[in-house]
Amino acid sequence: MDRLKSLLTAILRDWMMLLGLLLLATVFFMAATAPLFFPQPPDTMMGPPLQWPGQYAGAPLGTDGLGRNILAGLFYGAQISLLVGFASVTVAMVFGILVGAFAGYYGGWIDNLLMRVTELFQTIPQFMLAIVVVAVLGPSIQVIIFSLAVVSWPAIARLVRGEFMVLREKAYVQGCIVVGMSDMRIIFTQILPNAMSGVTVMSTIMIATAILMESALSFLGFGDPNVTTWGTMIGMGKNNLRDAWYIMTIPGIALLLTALALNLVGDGLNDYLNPRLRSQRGQ
Amino acid sequence: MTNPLLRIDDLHVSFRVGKEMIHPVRGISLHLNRGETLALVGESGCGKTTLARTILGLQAPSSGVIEYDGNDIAGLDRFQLKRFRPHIQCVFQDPFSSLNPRKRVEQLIREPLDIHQIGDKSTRLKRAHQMMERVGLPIDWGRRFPHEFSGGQRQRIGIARALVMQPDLLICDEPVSALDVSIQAQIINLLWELKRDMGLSYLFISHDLMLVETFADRVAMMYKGEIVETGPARQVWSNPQHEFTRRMIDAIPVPDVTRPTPPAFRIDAE
Amino acid sequence: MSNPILQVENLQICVRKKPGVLILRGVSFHVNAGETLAIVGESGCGKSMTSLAIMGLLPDAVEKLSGTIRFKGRELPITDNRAMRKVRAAEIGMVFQEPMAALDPLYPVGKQVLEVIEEHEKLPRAMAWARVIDLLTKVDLPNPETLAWSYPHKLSGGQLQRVVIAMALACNPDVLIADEPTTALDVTVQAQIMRLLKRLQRDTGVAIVLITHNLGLVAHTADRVMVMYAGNKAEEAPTRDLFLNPRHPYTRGLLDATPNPERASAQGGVLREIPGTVPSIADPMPGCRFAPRCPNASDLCHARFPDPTYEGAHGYACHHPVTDARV
Ligand SMILES: Nc1ncnc2c1ncn2[C@@H]1O[C@H](COP(=O)(O)OP(=O)(O)OP(=O)(O)O)[C@@H](O)[C@H]1O
Ligand SMILES: Nc1ncnc2c1ncn2[C@@H]1O[C@H](COP(=O)(O)OP(=O)(O)OP(=O)(O)O)[C@@H](O)[C@H]1O
Ligand code: SF4
Ligand SMILES: [Mg+2]
Ligand SMILES: [Mg+2]
Repeated sequence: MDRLKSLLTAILRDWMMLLGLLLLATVFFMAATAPLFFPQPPDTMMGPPLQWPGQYAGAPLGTDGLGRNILAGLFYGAQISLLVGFASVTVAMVFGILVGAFAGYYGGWIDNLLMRVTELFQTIPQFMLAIVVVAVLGPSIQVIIFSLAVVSWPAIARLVRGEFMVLREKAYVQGCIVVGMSDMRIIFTQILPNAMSGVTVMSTIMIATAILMESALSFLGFGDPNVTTWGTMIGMGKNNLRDAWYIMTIPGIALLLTALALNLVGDGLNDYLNPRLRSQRGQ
Repeated sequence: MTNPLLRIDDLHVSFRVGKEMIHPVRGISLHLNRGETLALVGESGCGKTTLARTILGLQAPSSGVIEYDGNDIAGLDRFQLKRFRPHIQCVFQDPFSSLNPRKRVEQLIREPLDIHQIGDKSTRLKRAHQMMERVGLPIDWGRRFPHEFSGGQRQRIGIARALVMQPDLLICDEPVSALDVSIQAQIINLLWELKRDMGLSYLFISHDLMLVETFADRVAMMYKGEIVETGPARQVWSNPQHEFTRRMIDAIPVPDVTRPTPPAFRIDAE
Repeated sequence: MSNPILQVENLQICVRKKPGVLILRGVSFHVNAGETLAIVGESGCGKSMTSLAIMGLLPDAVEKLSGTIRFKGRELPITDNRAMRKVRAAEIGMVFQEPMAALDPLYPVGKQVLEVIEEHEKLPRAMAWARVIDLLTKVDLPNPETLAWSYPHKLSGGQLQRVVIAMALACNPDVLIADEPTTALDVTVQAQIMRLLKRLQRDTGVAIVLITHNLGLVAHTADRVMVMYAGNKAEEAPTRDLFLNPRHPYTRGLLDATPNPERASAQGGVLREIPGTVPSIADPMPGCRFAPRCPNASDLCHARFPDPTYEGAHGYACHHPVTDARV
């Protein structure tokens, strides 16, 4: 009975990771093929407004209040979501890893200083901080990516710092010092690779959060006015909520599925990386 | 008389743990001659590892002299110490945490040469392979990762890495206490041969008095951060001067049934 | 005066779902009432697994393939956790290498001893507590009344091990299994703990199974020794016999590899080593598992596993036993 259960959970876990990867691949496919399927920009009027899905042949998922093709919006929106998600988390990772690595490796006043700054960022609610940054610097894709990186890096910094504090005490790191290795070389070639598995898992899930936050910003009108994103589409739909709820629901579902996919992949990675981690640490 | 290779004079180490100051090394003086094996013996927590770490520059002393070959290296910073690194190396106790799990064996052994830019790339690899052979690891295992090796084999990797720069002094902090008796003998024999062939000097930290007597030329008994007596093992054992040494000797169970049970194990006396 | 209180017969333990990956390959031995049996052998040879099987504490990742364990003649239901709870502590006690692992850091040590007593016996609180103090006194702890209220982190390693011994002996078991009880301790403390165990044995008649790496300890505390190698029993003999007349080449190698200054001078300061390493538990060798490292090995050794041979109380499993005695 027990054995059957563990087998099932194992398959189920793999199966969920597979589903996550498939969903994610679909989103990437949409982003990559958007200009191919829809040569017109997504904000051009393609047909009569407020056509329900299936009603109008030119737009299989219907059109919005201005006659824009919702399917085209989804495809182009995928580009923005992925760009914002991956770019902001990459920036956050670079910065968070640097801060966390130095704080964790050196400890003492460097750690105190860096962690004070990190905490400062964490005391302000993430979304508020993002809005403030966008409000001050003006709404553009670059600024949104920057603002989301600003709110994401502290969590990575803390995680990396924790890993570094444990790993720097390991005998192999002491051995590297004795051999005469420089601090930079120890930090980046000896400790960081061993600290990356946790960061990888965390950043996958953070990409999902960033994508959701970008949509929320766009929904509230803090998005880049020059591009169509899932968030702006949802925002547009709220005027027609009663008679044409599909306008809001379709991009909403796309958003949810993408976030779900990233979380599933994150969970799968975690399960996959952890046992290996254990055997590498010789437990 | 020539200078000792390592001379330590009135060394103190103290550091802060939370709110308390602890003082694990309290005025240690000792010397180690060229080609000699000096064993450092003492109870757990008496400061042996702290002393070793201080000599290796991993821990700053609060006062005192550490003289390596006539140069005071106490409290030098990392850059100043780099010049001495090739001369003083170490082997750790735990064969599992002392090697980076993500590096291949030949990379691990070659790394010290890379850092000090000794020779070109191919000679470094050749030296690493020679060193692997010397410590009894087949060269074709060079592309494997540490977790594919047993404890004794990993300790060989650690020794090869420490010796690839041809140091004069090797500090061994309980190098065999995590290993089985039969593997322990292999590693001790290897250390003994390497010493004979390469003219090494050892500072050998151990709990095992039997092992120390077989392997070391002299012992230094350490008790609560101080050296309480030194001398050739046999002499110290047969005529212990300090109460602590006496207690420790009384407690060693000699693996020999023909010898009387040591007093500390006897219950008939009670 | 052979009076077996604990009898293990043909115990085979494998990794769960992998009957080919054998951790114990059919181990049989017995423990007589009141004696000290030492179990020695290379790390990973199955010493701890043997003791965990007896206690019914096998980890989930492994399972018993065959074999019986009899305590006072009746078979222990080692897979039945409920039934085994009565056996643990009350009939067979256990002491581990790391005393800290056996204690809960959140409770005073006296309470933890009390809990063991109350789990097995219905006693008024006051009487049970008096028993706790009595036990702590018996294991030579200073000021037992005060110490009983200390938390584990306040005590030294040696004191903690004494508390664990008090817990193991709380319900007067007939057998005490001590798995490397002194490996984590200093030699002076080791001697105190071993003397304590021997004295408790003299006073209560408890049989001790001492698992250890330290042949010196064995020489001075055990009545009989069982040597294990790679999941098999290699040799079993009264202590004196084993040290002076080892018949199995592994035992011989182990004794010769042990640092002993008395013998070293003849060997020029170097130890005598056993070359090679232990085979993996997954390695399906048909013959003797020591053959790749054995100086006496022949083709027969590589082909067929040796059956055990007995000469009185001295048993060994070897095709070509050592014949010359150790001096
Ligand atoms: N990084 C540290 N943080 C806190 N305390 C420490 C640290 N390093 C050493 N100590 C303390 O310093 C004292 C000496 O420790 P050290 O490790 O030098 O002892 P040791 O003789 O090597 O012991 P062992 O035989 O157990 O290895 C101990 O009381 C220990 O608790
Ligand atoms: N949970 C587990 N799953 C699979 N194999 C295991 C597990 N626990 C232990 N083993 C294997 O069982 C074998 C015997 O382990 P055991 O702990 O009994 O060795 P031991 O003789 O007590 O060694 P040591 O002297 O190191 O304590 C080892 O080869 C080990 O790898
Ligand atoms: S059976 Fe053969 S290989 Fe095994 S121990 Fe005996 S002589 Fe050696
Ligand atoms: Mg130490
Ligand atoms: Mg064990």
